[in-house]
Amino acid sequence: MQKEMELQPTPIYLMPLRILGAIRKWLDNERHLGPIMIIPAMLVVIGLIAYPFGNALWLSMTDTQAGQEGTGNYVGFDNFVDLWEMKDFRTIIIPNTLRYTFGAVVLKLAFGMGLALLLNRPMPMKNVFRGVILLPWIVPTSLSVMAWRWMLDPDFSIINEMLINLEIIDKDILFLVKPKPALWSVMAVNIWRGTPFFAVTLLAALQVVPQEQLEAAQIDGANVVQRFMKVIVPTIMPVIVVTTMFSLVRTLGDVEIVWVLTGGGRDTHLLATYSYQLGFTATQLGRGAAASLFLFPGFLVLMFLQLRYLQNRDY
Amino acid sequence: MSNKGMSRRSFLKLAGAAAAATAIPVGGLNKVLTANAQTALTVQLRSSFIPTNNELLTALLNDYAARNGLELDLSLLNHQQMAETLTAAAASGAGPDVLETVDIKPHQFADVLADVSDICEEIGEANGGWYPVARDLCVVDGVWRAMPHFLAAHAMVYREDLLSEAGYDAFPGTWDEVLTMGTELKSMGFPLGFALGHAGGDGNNFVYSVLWSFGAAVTDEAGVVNLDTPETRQACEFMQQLYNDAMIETVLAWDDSSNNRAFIAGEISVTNNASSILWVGRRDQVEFVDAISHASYPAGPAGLVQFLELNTIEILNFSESIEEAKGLLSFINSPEVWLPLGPDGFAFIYPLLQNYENHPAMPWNTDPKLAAFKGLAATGKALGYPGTPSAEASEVAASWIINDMFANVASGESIDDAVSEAHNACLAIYGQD
Amino acid sequence: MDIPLLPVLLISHLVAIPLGAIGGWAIIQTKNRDPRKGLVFGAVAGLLGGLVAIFALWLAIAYIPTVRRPKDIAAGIEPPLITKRTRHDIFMSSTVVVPLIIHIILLVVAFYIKSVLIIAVALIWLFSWFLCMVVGNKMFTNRGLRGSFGVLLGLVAGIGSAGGVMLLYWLLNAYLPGDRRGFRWSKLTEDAFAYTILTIFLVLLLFPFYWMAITAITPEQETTRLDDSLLWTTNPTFDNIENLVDDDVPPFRRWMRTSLIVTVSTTIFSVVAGTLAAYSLVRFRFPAARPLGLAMFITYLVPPILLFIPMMRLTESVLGIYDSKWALVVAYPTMLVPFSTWFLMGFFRSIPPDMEECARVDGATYWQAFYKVTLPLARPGIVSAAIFSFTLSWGEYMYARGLILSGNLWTLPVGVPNVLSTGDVFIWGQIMAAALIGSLPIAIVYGFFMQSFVAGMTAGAVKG
Repeated sequence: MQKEMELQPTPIYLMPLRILGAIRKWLDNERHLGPIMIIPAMLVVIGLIAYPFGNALWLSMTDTQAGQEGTGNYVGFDNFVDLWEMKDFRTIIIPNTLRYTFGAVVLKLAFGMGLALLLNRPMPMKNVFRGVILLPWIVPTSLSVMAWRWMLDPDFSIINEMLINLEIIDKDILFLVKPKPALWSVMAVNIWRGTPFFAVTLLAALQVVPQEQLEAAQIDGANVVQRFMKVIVPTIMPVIVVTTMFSLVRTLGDVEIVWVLTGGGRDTHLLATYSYQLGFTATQLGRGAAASLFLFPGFLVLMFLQLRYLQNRDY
Repeated sequence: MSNKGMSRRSFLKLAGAAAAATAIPVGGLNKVLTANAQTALTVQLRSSFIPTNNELLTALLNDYAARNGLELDLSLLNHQQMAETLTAAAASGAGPDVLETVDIKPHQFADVLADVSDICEEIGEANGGWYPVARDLCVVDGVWRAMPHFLAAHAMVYREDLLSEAGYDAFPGTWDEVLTMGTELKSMGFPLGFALGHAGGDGNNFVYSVLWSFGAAVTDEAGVVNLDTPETRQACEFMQQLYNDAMIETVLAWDDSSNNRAFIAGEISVTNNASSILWVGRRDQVEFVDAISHASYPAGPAGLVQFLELNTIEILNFSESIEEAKGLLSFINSPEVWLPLGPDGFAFIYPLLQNYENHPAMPWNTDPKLAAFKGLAATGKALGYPGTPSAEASEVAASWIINDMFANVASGESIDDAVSEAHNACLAIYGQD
Repeated sequence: MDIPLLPVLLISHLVAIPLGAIGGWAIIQTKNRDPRKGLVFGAVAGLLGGLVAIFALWLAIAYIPTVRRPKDIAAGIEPPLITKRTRHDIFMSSTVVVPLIIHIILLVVAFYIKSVLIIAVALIWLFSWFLCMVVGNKMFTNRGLRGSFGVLLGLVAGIGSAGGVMLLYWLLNAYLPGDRRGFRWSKLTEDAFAYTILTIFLVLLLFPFYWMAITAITPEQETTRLDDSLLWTTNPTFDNIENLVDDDVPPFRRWMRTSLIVTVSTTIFSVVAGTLAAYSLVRFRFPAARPLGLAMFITYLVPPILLFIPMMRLTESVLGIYDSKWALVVAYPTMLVPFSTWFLMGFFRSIPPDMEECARVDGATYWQAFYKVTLPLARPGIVSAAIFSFTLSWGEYMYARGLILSGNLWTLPVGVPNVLSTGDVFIWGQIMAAALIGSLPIAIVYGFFMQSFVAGMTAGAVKG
């Protein structure tokens, strides 16, 4: 059919159609269509991610200050050294970041797994439960954190009020003072927000755990823990790894919760919030960029681990 | 055939959609859309806690804009957001044309602020002159970088009924007496409450006033960091005692709004605040509203040195309509605005022009409960005291160093540690380490 | 008279639940042999359960307000006096009589229509709650007592008895020995354990929303009076919501509009770009396909905070769109495109290429094979990616705060915490109302696409 069309002489008014046809034919080749389909995404990656990232690298080696003329000079690694020499940076911000990230992610994984296992049981109104538990995760963080801020208020915390009424405590707990309760509160909110995501992803993964294997293991006399460790975990390992990595990255770079709940302050600052504060409210763009780049080694490690993992299982 | 035709159409449609989606941001559609015959001005001013006051200001400015052919986009925000906005605007060279900030931002951002000397001198002359403290705040190297707007006037807020129960007819005049009284009040179940958390308004007003009243300060007059002094230790000792014996424990976690809530809920007897507590008390008709009263800050060993929360309005120098913005600024400080706005402002917005002090319509002259706010602007000090305002002083405040120092001693840290820690942090900011 | 709270709670439960359980047991025993007998037993059991609930409610109302907390004792606050007369009044009031009747009717109906069981429990739940709250609170505030705990207790007891009957009926059905379905204690304890933990999870996860909703309908003056009505408000009002939506100051509706425009446009763009890229990377062999796939994956892991400061400069000096919603339209794809691509790559990989190959053999072009064959199959994945993107950009805070400076131009998640808190006075009622309304669009989206979302997650997550 196509041959017929090409054999006939083409009237001039049909030329546009011919050209379109030629383009179509040219496109009908994976070596052409492939790269073309990828263009929009690559524009974003190159123009809006790679380029700004390079810019961040450059900024971190300058003394750029917002609104100050005569800044923006190359200063080498001074910003990194200065930050590292700050006492608070080493003794508060870095440990906070590590505690916050690993503590929150581990607990999110644990709670998420527990919740997923519970929801995987046969029960009435399963779908309703699944939808409802997602709420903490889908509601805009800054809004739900405002609710938490109200619930953790020093004087009018409903949590304190309930605990007092149940005679569990007799004095208000100050959730948002430094250093420990504040960081714990922030972590608690992060866990509260992130657990549903873990639960839903892991629940989805649990659907493909082969029932026969579970039953076979049960007949072989494996108890609950053994069945979990030997059958369930290996099957859903890819999902655990991918979700945990994703969560690690997000938690490491998390700004919103701290920013809205405590407004930063050095007792709860994390690398990400400190960088945000330096860049956004303290005008030191160069140093802020440097602070955010302290996160970079962490990402490299995470990325490397995940790539290796995916490669091993034929990424 | 129809099959193929459809696919071509769909492909083109998809490709077109994708192309359009990428094209929108790059084209700078925003500029195209807002380009208009009228002059557009984006203005951000500090909001009041009184909704009618906000509405009145909005109406006055919109009216002015309509008369002068301006397209005004006015938003009213609180001071924290505005500080963040100024930083970001300075960094990027874009943002609102006019905005209002608290404390000594004009010094920190002088490079990106337009020169407003002409209108400021003019306004000052026409209205009995600026208060010197306001002038110092805005004049950087001989050039006005901002127009003083208003003082967010602060005073001690207390409950007469509880004080008289404790045996006090009037609010005491020194911090030591406040401590004695507070101990008594706390034993009655109504402690004092002064914010020691990260509260940019009430917290700074309290901690800097205490620090200065004890003769201590971050720097000396020449701007050399001098925090680690016997006076500072004395202030810390006082704070430790005040916290342990007289204050509600929760102050360590307080923000600007906490004392308002605690006072209205009847949990505390004394705090420091703007007039918002009395205002809310009257709005909600709380049972002890008649007993709410204001008094001036107490004095310390070095006399009464009160911190002032001053608000200034800046024009960003990247603005394309600086002249129009200047016109608007002049209008904001003209009697056309102050005469309706001031009396409605419940002494929260206190003009920095001297001839309003004795104006009969102003709240501090009409409402006896608000008389304590009168005259503050003539005696109080701004950040940087006893030196001159500076960018570093602004950063010390933004880093909560003094607030944290007092909070640390209150929660039991040794005074030596807390003071030297704060001293070193200040040295680092001033670059004198 | 001081009565400690916890024992009262425990005792009322311990009485109510076994009674309900015995009733349930009796019903099952008789129902199998003689339906008419079952009816009688059902009525009796329901009556007993209801009675216990009423008793507990009365007990609660009458005694609990006299409980004093350590704080009150320290402050010397006396427990309110309750006379015999008031107790009698309370007992005879409709608070007690109405639930009694309702209990009986619902219980009897429920036993004969097994599928209604759950609905019945829910109804009893709701009704006794509503009744306790409204009537109970009115009564207590009129008498100046702290009523909510009594109300809560009545509620718990009501649920305890009614729910006890239901639960035991269900449990016994499920675990009945002999000719029924193999009863095992291990399974019973396992279930009991599982449901207890699940309940705790649910309460912890959902309580903030409950409190958000309650604060949103509490008059501003009462937000600080927790004692008067713990966990509830005595004077519900919609003023907060009305003030928020009606006024132009703060510009709530404008924020909402901005949020919608930004979210919808970036979601559509990102999902389209992501779908095309993912398909191409998975199916087509061309030079650089693999490095590009890797690049996608790496950029998906780059956290937004690394790009924030340069993004400020990029949108300003290069694109000239700083301080407008277009800056967000540019910024959000940096989070969404790599994610969508990566997510959909996993999804496309899970779709076997056989059908496309068949289509190719039948003469379809590559594009047609993608568009006509694979795309429809990938719909759950695409919907999931879209929902995910929608969620991320709807709730985004950091870019929205940093790239837009004018308060009027903000998105909802930035405007609400920043503008409604005027420094000195937080308008908590309005903030919570705004938070609720701001959560609505996303809840609606999930309501519609939940099924699809889970399906997409399953395929994408497992194979990816």
